Amino acid sequence: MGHAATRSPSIADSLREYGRGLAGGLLFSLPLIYTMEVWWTGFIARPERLLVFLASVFILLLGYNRYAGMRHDASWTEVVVDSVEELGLGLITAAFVLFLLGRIDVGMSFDEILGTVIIEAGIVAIGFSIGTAQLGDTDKKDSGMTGSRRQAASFAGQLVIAFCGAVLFAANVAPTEEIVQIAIETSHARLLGLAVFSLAIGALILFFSSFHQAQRVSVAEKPLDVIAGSAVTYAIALVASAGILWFFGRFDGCALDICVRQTVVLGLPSVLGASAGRLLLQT
Amino acid sequence: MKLQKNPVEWSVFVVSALLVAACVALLIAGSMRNGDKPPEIVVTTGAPVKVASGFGMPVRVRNLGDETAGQLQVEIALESEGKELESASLNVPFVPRHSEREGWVVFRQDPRCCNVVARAHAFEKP
Repeated sequence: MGHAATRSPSIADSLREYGRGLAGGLLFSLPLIYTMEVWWTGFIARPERLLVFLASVFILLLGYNRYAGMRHDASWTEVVVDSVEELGLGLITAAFVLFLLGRIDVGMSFDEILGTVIIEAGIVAIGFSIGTAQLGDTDKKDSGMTGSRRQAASFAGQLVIAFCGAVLFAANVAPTEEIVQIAIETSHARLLGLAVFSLAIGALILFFSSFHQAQRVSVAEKPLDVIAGSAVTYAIALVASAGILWFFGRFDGCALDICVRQTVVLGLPSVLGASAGRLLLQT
Repeated sequence: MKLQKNPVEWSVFVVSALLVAACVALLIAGSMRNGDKPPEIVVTTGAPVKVASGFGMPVRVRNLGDETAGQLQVEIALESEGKELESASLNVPFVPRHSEREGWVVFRQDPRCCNVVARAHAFEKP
Protein backbone atom coordinates (compact mmCIF):
# COMPACT_ATOMS: atom_id res chain seq x y z
CA MET A 1 0.00 0.00 0.00
CA GLY A 2 1.47 3.20 -1.17
CA HIS A 3 2.43 5.08 1.95
CA ALA A 4 5.83 6.15 0.68
CA ALA A 5 5.79 9.43 -1.15
CA THR A 6 8.87 10.25 -3.12
CA ARG A 7 10.20 6.95 -4.44
CA SER A 8 8.77 3.50 -4.71
CA PRO A 9 9.33 1.33 -1.62
CA SER A 10 11.35 -1.89 -1.80
CA ILE A 11 9.45 -5.12 -2.35
CA ALA A 12 10.42 -6.28 1.16
CA ASP A 13 8.88 -3.10 2.63
CA SER A 14 5.68 -3.66 0.65
CA LEU A 15 5.41 -7.27 1.76
CA ARG A 16 5.93 -6.23 5.39
CA GLU A 17 3.17 -3.67 5.02
CA TYR A 18 0.79 -6.23 3.50
CA GLY A 19 1.68 -8.54 6.37
CA ARG A 20 0.71 -5.86 8.88
CA GLY A 21 -2.48 -5.24 6.97
CA LEU A 22 -3.31 -8.95 6.99
CA ALA A 23 -2.69 -9.16 10.75
CA GLY A 24 -4.89 -6.13 11.36
CA GLY A 25 -7.55 -7.39 9.00
CA LEU A 26 -7.82 -10.69 10.83
CA LEU A 27 -7.55 -9.13 14.30
CA PHE A 28 -10.53 -6.90 13.72
CA SER A 29 -12.69 -9.17 11.61
CA LEU A 30 -12.26 -12.65 13.05
CA PRO A 31 -15.12 -12.34 15.58
CA LEU A 32 -17.44 -11.50 12.69
CA ILE A 33 -16.09 -14.22 10.42
CA TYR A 34 -16.99 -16.69 13.19
CA THR A 35 -20.52 -15.27 13.65
CA MET A 36 -23.35 -17.07 11.87
CA GLU A 37 -25.69 -14.08 11.84
CA VAL A 38 -23.15 -12.37 9.60
CA TRP A 39 -23.08 -15.28 7.13
CA TRP A 40 -26.87 -15.20 7.08
CA THR A 41 -26.89 -11.49 6.34
CA GLY A 42 -24.68 -12.25 3.35
CA PHE A 43 -27.33 -14.32 1.63
CA ILE A 44 -30.45 -12.70 3.06
CA ALA A 45 -29.40 -9.18 2.00
CA ARG A 46 -30.52 -8.24 -1.49
CA PRO A 47 -27.85 -7.13 -3.99
CA GLU A 48 -28.92 -3.46 -3.66
CA ARG A 49 -28.23 -3.53 0.06
CA LEU A 50 -24.86 -5.20 -0.52
CA LEU A 51 -24.00 -2.44 -2.99
CA VAL A 52 -24.83 0.19 -0.35
CA PHE A 53 -22.67 -1.76 2.12
CA LEU A 54 -19.74 -1.92 -0.31
CA ALA A 55 -20.03 1.81 -1.06
CA SER A 56 -20.23 2.64 2.68
CA VAL A 57 -17.13 0.57 3.43
CA PHE A 58 -15.28 2.30 0.61
CA ILE A 59 -16.25 5.73 1.96
CA LEU A 60 -15.12 4.67 5.45
CA LEU A 61 -11.80 3.48 4.02
CA LEU A 62 -11.36 6.77 2.16
CA GLY A 63 -12.11 8.67 5.36
CA TYR A 64 -9.83 6.60 7.55
CA ASN A 65 -6.96 6.61 5.05
CA ARG A 66 -7.36 10.35 4.51
CA TYR A 67 -7.40 11.38 8.14
CA ALA A 68 -5.56 8.69 10.04
CA GLY A 69 -3.99 6.11 7.80
CA MET A 70 -1.66 8.12 5.58
CA ARG A 71 0.62 11.14 5.58
CA HIS A 72 -1.11 14.48 5.66
CA ASP A 73 0.21 15.36 2.22
CA ALA A 74 -1.09 12.19 0.57
CA SER A 75 -3.06 13.02 -2.55
CA TRP A 76 -6.63 11.83 -3.03
CA THR A 77 -5.37 9.54 -5.82
CA GLU A 78 -3.13 7.77 -3.31
CA VAL A 79 -5.99 7.54 -0.83
CA VAL A 80 -8.30 6.01 -3.47
CA VAL A 81 -5.62 3.57 -4.68
CA ASP A 82 -4.94 2.40 -1.12
CA SER A 83 -8.64 2.01 -0.38
CA VAL A 84 -9.17 -0.10 -3.53
CA GLU A 85 -6.20 -2.28 -2.54
CA GLU A 86 -7.57 -2.77 0.96
CA LEU A 87 -10.98 -3.71 -0.37
CA GLY A 88 -9.48 -6.17 -2.85
CA LEU A 89 -7.22 -7.74 -0.23
CA GLY A 90 -10.23 -7.90 2.09
CA LEU A 91 -12.16 -9.85 -0.56
CA ILE A 92 -9.31 -12.33 -1.08
CA THR A 93 -8.67 -12.81 2.64
CA ALA A 94 -12.35 -13.18 3.53
CA ALA A 95 -12.93 -15.70 0.73
CA PHE A 96 -9.90 -17.73 1.77
CA VAL A 97 -10.77 -17.85 5.50
CA LEU A 98 -14.46 -18.56 4.81
CA PHE A 99 -13.41 -21.39 2.51
CA LEU A 100 -11.13 -22.86 5.21
CA LEU A 101 -14.01 -22.62 7.69
CA GLY A 102 -16.32 -24.44 5.27
CA ARG A 103 -18.64 -21.42 5.00
CA ILE A 104 -18.30 -21.24 1.25
CA ASP A 105 -18.26 -24.28 -0.90
CA VAL A 106 -18.54 -25.29 -4.53
CA GLY A 107 -22.06 -26.62 -3.96
CA MET A 108 -23.40 -23.23 -2.93
CA SER A 109 -25.09 -20.85 -5.34
CA PHE A 110 -22.97 -18.00 -6.66
CA ASP A 111 -25.29 -15.38 -5.09
CA GLU A 112 -24.80 -16.94 -1.68
CA ILE A 113 -21.01 -17.09 -1.96
CA LEU A 114 -20.82 -13.52 -3.27
CA GLY A 115 -23.00 -12.12 -0.47
CA THR A 116 -21.18 -13.92 2.32
CA VAL A 117 -17.73 -12.95 1.02
CA ILE A 118 -18.67 -9.28 0.48
CA ILE A 119 -20.06 -8.86 4.01
CA GLU A 120 -16.97 -10.32 5.66
CA ALA A 121 -14.60 -8.61 3.21
CA GLY A 122 -15.87 -5.17 4.21
CA ILE A 123 -14.86 -5.70 7.82
CA VAL A 124 -11.53 -7.33 6.85
CA ALA A 125 -10.77 -4.34 4.60
CA ILE A 126 -11.28 -1.85 7.45
CA GLY A 127 -9.02 -4.04 9.59
CA PHE A 128 -6.44 -4.05 6.78
CA SER A 129 -6.46 -0.28 6.71
CA ILE A 130 -6.05 0.07 10.46
CA GLY A 131 -3.50 -2.75 10.65
CA THR A 132 -1.33 -1.19 7.97
CA ALA A 133 -1.35 2.15 9.75
CA GLN A 134 -1.37 1.14 13.39
CA LEU A 135 0.70 -2.02 13.61
CA GLY A 136 3.56 -0.33 11.79
CA ASP A 137 7.02 0.59 12.90
CA THR A 138 6.61 3.97 14.59
CA ASP A 139 10.07 5.07 13.46
CA LYS A 140 9.03 5.06 9.86
CA LYS A 141 7.32 7.92 8.21
CA ASP A 142 5.14 5.58 6.19
CA SER A 143 3.04 4.69 9.18
CA GLY A 144 1.82 8.15 8.43
CA MET A 145 0.95 9.46 11.82
CA THR A 146 3.11 12.54 12.13
CA GLY A 147 1.37 14.54 9.51
CA SER A 148 -2.03 13.07 10.03
CA ARG A 149 -2.18 14.39 13.57
CA ARG A 150 -2.53 17.86 12.20
CA GLN A 151 -5.24 16.58 9.90
CA ALA A 152 -6.93 14.70 12.68
CA ALA A 153 -7.18 17.85 14.72
CA SER A 154 -9.65 19.21 12.17
CA PHE A 155 -13.28 18.76 13.10
CA ALA A 156 -14.15 16.83 9.96
CA GLY A 157 -11.24 14.48 10.56
CA GLN A 158 -12.38 13.86 14.12
CA LEU A 159 -15.89 13.05 12.95
CA VAL A 160 -14.64 10.60 10.32
CA ILE A 161 -12.36 8.80 12.76
CA ALA A 162 -15.05 8.70 15.45
CA PHE A 163 -17.43 7.19 12.89
CA CYS A 164 -14.82 4.58 11.85
CA GLY A 165 -14.22 3.63 15.49
CA ALA A 166 -17.95 3.39 16.18
CA VAL A 167 -18.56 1.15 13.17
CA LEU A 168 -15.63 -1.10 13.99
CA PHE A 169 -16.71 -1.68 17.60
CA ALA A 170 -20.45 -1.80 17.05
CA ALA A 171 -20.21 -4.17 14.07
CA ASN A 172 -19.01 -6.91 16.42
CA VAL A 173 -22.29 -7.06 18.31
CA ALA A 174 -24.80 -5.51 15.90
CA PRO A 175 -25.65 -8.71 14.00
CA THR A 176 -26.44 -10.73 17.13
CA GLU A 177 -29.93 -11.50 18.43
CA GLU A 178 -28.95 -10.11 21.82
CA ILE A 179 -29.37 -6.50 20.71
CA VAL A 180 -33.02 -6.88 19.78
CA GLN A 181 -33.65 -9.01 22.87
CA ILE A 182 -32.24 -6.33 25.19
CA ALA A 183 -34.14 -3.65 23.27
CA ILE A 184 -37.46 -5.44 23.69
CA GLU A 185 -37.06 -6.57 27.29
CA THR A 186 -35.48 -3.51 28.91
CA SER A 187 -37.62 -0.80 30.50
CA HIS A 188 -37.63 2.79 29.25
CA ALA A 189 -36.01 4.04 32.46
CA ARG A 190 -33.08 1.64 32.14
CA LEU A 191 -32.59 2.50 28.48
CA LEU A 192 -32.51 6.17 29.44
CA GLY A 193 -29.92 5.25 32.06
CA LEU A 194 -27.96 3.39 29.36
CA ALA A 195 -28.02 6.49 27.14
CA VAL A 196 -26.77 8.72 29.99
CA PHE A 197 -24.11 6.13 30.88
CA SER A 198 -23.01 6.01 27.21
CA LEU A 199 -22.65 9.79 27.15
CA ALA A 200 -20.67 9.72 30.40
CA ILE A 201 -18.34 6.98 29.12
CA GLY A 202 -17.69 9.05 26.01
CA ALA A 203 -16.81 12.07 28.13
CA LEU A 204 -14.68 9.99 30.46
CA ILE A 205 -12.60 8.52 27.65
CA LEU A 206 -12.22 11.74 25.72
CA PHE A 207 -11.72 14.26 28.47
CA PHE A 208 -11.01 12.87 31.90
CA SER A 209 -9.09 9.63 31.79
CA SER A 210 -5.76 10.97 30.54
CA PHE A 211 -5.62 8.33 27.89
CA HIS A 212 -2.48 8.28 25.86
CA GLN A 213 -2.61 11.38 23.65
CA ALA A 214 -6.06 12.39 24.91
CA GLN A 215 -4.74 15.91 25.26
CA ARG A 216 -4.11 16.10 21.56
CA VAL A 217 -7.58 15.01 20.56
CA SER A 218 -9.61 16.91 23.07
CA VAL A 219 -8.59 20.43 23.79
CA ALA A 220 -11.80 21.24 25.65
CA GLU A 221 -11.42 22.85 29.03
CA LYS A 222 -14.77 24.44 29.77
CA PRO A 223 -17.65 22.25 31.01
CA LEU A 224 -19.73 23.34 28.02
CA ASP A 225 -17.04 22.09 25.64
CA VAL A 226 -16.97 18.74 27.41
CA ILE A 227 -20.74 18.41 27.14
CA ALA A 228 -20.74 19.47 23.48
CA GLY A 229 -17.83 17.17 22.62
CA SER A 230 -19.49 14.19 24.31
CA ALA A 231 -22.83 14.93 22.68
CA VAL A 232 -21.26 15.08 19.21
CA THR A 233 -19.45 11.77 19.83
CA TYR A 234 -22.65 10.14 21.07
CA ALA A 235 -24.57 11.49 18.09
CA ILE A 236 -22.01 9.94 15.73
CA ALA A 237 -22.24 6.69 17.69
CA LEU A 238 -26.03 6.64 17.32
CA VAL A 239 -25.86 7.34 13.57
CA ALA A 240 -23.29 4.54 13.15
CA SER A 241 -25.45 2.18 15.26
CA ALA A 242 -28.58 2.91 13.25
CA GLY A 243 -26.73 2.42 9.95
CA ILE A 244 -25.25 -0.92 10.98
CA LEU A 245 -28.54 -2.18 12.41
CA TRP A 246 -30.35 -1.21 9.21
CA PHE A 247 -27.77 -3.02 7.17
CA PHE A 248 -28.03 -6.22 9.21
CA GLY A 249 -31.80 -6.10 8.68
CA ARG A 250 -32.54 -5.39 12.33
CA PHE A 251 -34.97 -2.61 11.44
CA ASP A 252 -36.93 -4.70 8.93
CA GLY A 253 -40.53 -4.88 10.04
CA CYS A 254 -39.79 -3.24 13.39
CA ALA A 255 -41.83 -0.40 14.91
CA LEU A 256 -40.00 2.94 15.21
CA ASP A 257 -39.91 2.53 18.99
CA ILE A 258 -38.04 -0.78 18.74
CA CYS A 259 -35.63 0.66 16.16
CA VAL A 260 -34.79 3.54 18.50
CA ARG A 261 -34.40 1.16 21.43
CA GLN A 262 -32.00 -1.05 19.47
CA THR A 263 -30.01 2.01 18.44
CA VAL A 264 -29.64 3.07 22.07
CA VAL A 265 -28.64 -0.46 23.13
CA LEU A 266 -25.95 -0.56 20.45
CA GLY A 267 -25.04 3.02 21.34
CA LEU A 268 -22.82 1.94 24.23
CA PRO A 269 -20.35 -0.21 22.26
CA SER A 270 -20.63 2.34 19.49
CA VAL A 271 -19.72 5.32 21.69
CA LEU A 272 -16.85 3.30 23.16
CA GLY A 273 -15.60 2.79 19.62
CA ALA A 274 -16.18 6.41 18.64
CA SER A 275 -14.36 7.96 21.58
CA ALA A 276 -11.72 5.32 22.28
CA GLY A 277 -11.24 4.85 18.55
CA ARG A 278 -10.43 8.52 18.18
CA LEU A 279 -7.60 8.00 20.63
CA LEU A 280 -6.48 4.45 20.07
CA LEU A 281 -6.70 4.34 16.30
CA GLN A 282 -4.37 7.27 16.12
CA THR A 283 -1.75 6.32 18.67
CA MET B 1 1.33 13.63 -7.79
CA LYS B 2 2.78 10.63 -9.61
CA LEU B 3 2.19 7.41 -7.72
CA GLN B 4 5.37 5.64 -6.67
CA LYS B 5 4.79 1.92 -6.55
CA ASN B 6 6.89 -1.16 -7.11
CA PRO B 7 5.70 -4.04 -9.33
CA VAL B 8 4.28 -5.99 -6.38
CA GLU B 9 2.15 -3.03 -5.31
CA TRP B 10 0.95 -2.41 -8.84
CA SER B 11 0.01 -6.07 -9.20
CA VAL B 12 -1.92 -5.99 -5.93
CA PHE B 13 -3.69 -2.83 -7.02
CA VAL B 14 -4.65 -4.21 -10.44
CA VAL B 15 -5.95 -7.48 -8.97
CA SER B 16 -7.84 -5.57 -6.26
CA ALA B 17 -9.37 -3.12 -8.72
CA LEU B 18 -10.52 -6.00 -10.95
CA LEU B 19 -12.01 -7.87 -7.98
CA VAL B 20 -13.86 -4.83 -6.66
CA ALA B 21 -15.12 -3.94 -10.15
CA ALA B 22 -16.28 -7.54 -10.67
CA CYS B 23 -18.17 -7.53 -7.35
CA VAL B 24 -19.87 -4.23 -8.15
CA ALA B 25 -20.79 -5.45 -11.64
CA LEU B 26 -22.17 -8.73 -10.29
CA LEU B 27 -24.22 -6.96 -7.62
CA ILE B 28 -25.64 -4.52 -10.17
CA ALA B 29 -26.45 -7.43 -12.49
CA GLY B 30 -27.99 -9.29 -9.55
CA SER B 31 -30.17 -6.37 -8.55
CA MET B 32 -31.41 -5.97 -12.13
CA ARG B 33 -32.04 -9.70 -12.52
CA ASN B 34 -33.73 -10.17 -9.17
CA GLY B 35 -37.42 -9.58 -9.02
CA ASP B 36 -39.71 -9.69 -6.02
CA LYS B 37 -40.78 -13.28 -6.45
CA PRO B 38 -41.41 -14.75 -2.98
CA PRO B 39 -39.65 -17.99 -2.01
CA GLU B 40 -40.71 -20.83 -4.29
CA ILE B 41 -39.70 -24.07 -2.67
CA VAL B 42 -39.27 -27.27 -4.65
CA VAL B 43 -38.57 -30.46 -2.71
CA THR B 44 -37.16 -33.51 -4.47
CA THR B 45 -36.06 -36.85 -3.09
CA GLY B 46 -33.36 -39.26 -4.18
CA ALA B 47 -32.96 -43.01 -4.16
CA PRO B 48 -33.42 -44.63 -0.72
CA VAL B 49 -30.51 -46.37 0.93
CA LYS B 50 -30.73 -49.14 3.54
CA VAL B 51 -29.46 -47.86 6.88
CA ALA B 52 -29.38 -49.38 10.39
CA SER B 53 -32.68 -47.84 11.47
CA GLY B 54 -34.57 -48.30 8.21
CA PHE B 55 -34.27 -46.59 4.85
CA GLY B 56 -32.52 -43.25 4.47
CA MET B 57 -33.65 -41.01 1.67
CA PRO B 58 -31.80 -37.88 0.49
CA VAL B 59 -33.91 -34.73 0.26
CA ARG B 60 -33.03 -31.69 -1.81
CA VAL B 61 -34.79 -28.41 -1.05
CA ARG B 62 -34.45 -25.73 -3.74
CA ASN B 63 -35.59 -22.13 -3.60
CA LEU B 64 -36.47 -20.76 -7.05
CA GLY B 65 -37.72 -17.43 -5.66
CA ASP B 66 -35.93 -14.10 -5.26
CA GLU B 67 -36.14 -14.02 -1.46
CA THR B 68 -34.52 -16.19 1.17
CA ALA B 69 -36.79 -18.63 3.00
CA GLY B 70 -36.10 -19.35 6.66
CA GLN B 71 -37.13 -22.00 9.19
CA LEU B 72 -38.51 -24.35 6.56
CA GLN B 73 -40.55 -27.30 7.65
CA VAL B 74 -40.35 -29.97 5.00
CA GLU B 75 -42.59 -33.00 5.16
CA ILE B 76 -42.05 -36.20 3.21
CA ALA B 77 -44.84 -38.76 3.27
CA LEU B 78 -45.19 -42.28 1.92
CA GLU B 79 -48.63 -42.84 0.43
CA SER B 80 -50.25 -45.94 -0.96
CA GLU B 81 -53.75 -46.08 -2.43
CA GLY B 82 -54.54 -42.63 -1.07
CA LYS B 83 -53.52 -43.51 2.48
CA GLU B 84 -50.51 -42.06 4.28
CA LEU B 85 -48.43 -44.92 5.63
CA GLU B 86 -45.56 -43.04 7.14
CA SER B 87 -44.17 -39.52 7.22
CA ALA B 88 -40.95 -37.81 8.19
CA SER B 89 -40.09 -34.16 8.57
CA LEU B 90 -37.00 -32.09 8.09
CA ASN B 91 -36.28 -28.58 9.43
CA VAL B 92 -34.05 -26.41 7.28
CA PRO B 93 -32.78 -23.12 8.84
CA PHE B 94 -32.36 -21.23 5.56
CA VAL B 95 -32.56 -21.68 1.82
CA PRO B 96 -31.18 -18.54 0.14
CA ARG B 97 -32.63 -17.29 -3.15
CA HIS B 98 -31.74 -19.46 -6.15
CA SER B 99 -30.00 -21.91 -3.82
CA GLU B 100 -30.50 -25.35 -2.41
CA ARG B 101 -29.94 -27.35 0.77
CA GLU B 102 -29.70 -31.08 1.26
CA GLY B 103 -30.72 -33.37 4.09
CA TRP B 104 -31.85 -36.89 4.85
CA VAL B 105 -34.99 -38.47 6.25
CA VAL B 106 -35.28 -42.03 7.55
CA PHE B 107 -38.33 -44.28 7.11
CA ARG B 108 -38.99 -47.57 8.82
CA GLN B 109 -40.30 -49.13 5.60
CA ASP B 110 -38.80 -49.13 2.14
CA PRO B 111 -40.08 -45.98 0.34
CA ARG B 112 -39.96 -47.82 -2.97
CA CYS B 113 -43.26 -49.46 -1.98
CA CYS B 114 -45.21 -46.24 -2.20
CA ASN B 115 -45.71 -42.80 -3.67
CA VAL B 116 -43.33 -40.31 -2.11
CA VAL B 117 -45.00 -36.93 -1.51
CA ALA B 118 -42.61 -34.16 -0.53
CA ARG B 119 -43.38 -30.51 0.19
CA ALA B 120 -42.37 -27.57 2.34
CA HIS B 121 -45.47 -26.70 4.32
CA ALA B 122 -44.19 -23.64 6.19
CA PHE B 123 -41.36 -21.15 6.09
CA GLU B 124 -40.74 -17.65 7.30
CA LYS B 125 -39.25 -14.50 5.85
CA PRO B 126 -36.00 -14.02 7.73
